[in-house]
Amino acid sequence: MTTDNDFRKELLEVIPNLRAFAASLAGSFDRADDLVQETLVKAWDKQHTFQPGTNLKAWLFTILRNEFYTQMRKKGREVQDVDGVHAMQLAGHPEQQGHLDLQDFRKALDRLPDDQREALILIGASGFSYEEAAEICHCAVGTIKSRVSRARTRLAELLQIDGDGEYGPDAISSQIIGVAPAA
Amino acid sequence: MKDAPGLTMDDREKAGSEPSSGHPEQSDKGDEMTFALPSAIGDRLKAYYNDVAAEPVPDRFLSLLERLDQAESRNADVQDKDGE
Repeated sequence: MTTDNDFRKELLEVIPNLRAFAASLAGSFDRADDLVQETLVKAWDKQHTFQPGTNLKAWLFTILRNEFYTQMRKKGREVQDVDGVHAMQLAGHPEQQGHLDLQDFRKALDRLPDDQREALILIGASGFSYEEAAEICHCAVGTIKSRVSRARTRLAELLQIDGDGEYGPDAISSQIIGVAPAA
Repeated sequence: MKDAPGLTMDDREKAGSEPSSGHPEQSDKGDEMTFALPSAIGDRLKAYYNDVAAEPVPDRFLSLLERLDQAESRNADVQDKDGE
């Protein structure tokens, strides 16, 4: 009973992260919150399968991700909506309106393949290790690493962080970290 | 000061002439540094993510957990769950 209560408290703590991850997968806040809801119900039902002391956040992310791809498969392509639709729906979100460059960023993110985007989010934003991310995505650590790397490169291109591209890869990466001379 | 979270990305980019703070501010685990995201992307990624994560948990989830909890304790043993 107290353990249930603890479990509930811990679930609550992960919800903000689940929502952010779900929004990056699903593209709309309504769908994201539906996913989170499904995740919470599933997690509750199988909480006995959770090993206390292991990473609850990773466990929940795994459930959410599985749920997302299960729904995708059920609904087929309809879910994979077109470029920009995500961004438009999300732009209605009050927190986002003041942040034009967040919207740009989101649009760029939406153009990444799903597997790259999720790897990037898990590593760069959710704070998982490569090992954890690999477990969440049911793939090898090296796969996660290369997805993150490709995602990063592609994002830099999309956001034109590489300037006009006349500098070649070395100049590009140094510009990304902000040390290249402006001209 | 230039790391203030409220800073717009424009400002950040202008401040880009100095190396934008050598360590990408919350570089959680040190052993991941080999693949650390370039900070311009890393910062935006976090801003994007935290924008959602910073929101208060919607009531629907609070009441959902409440219901799950109550349903369970009702099943388990007849325990007097006094409201709240």
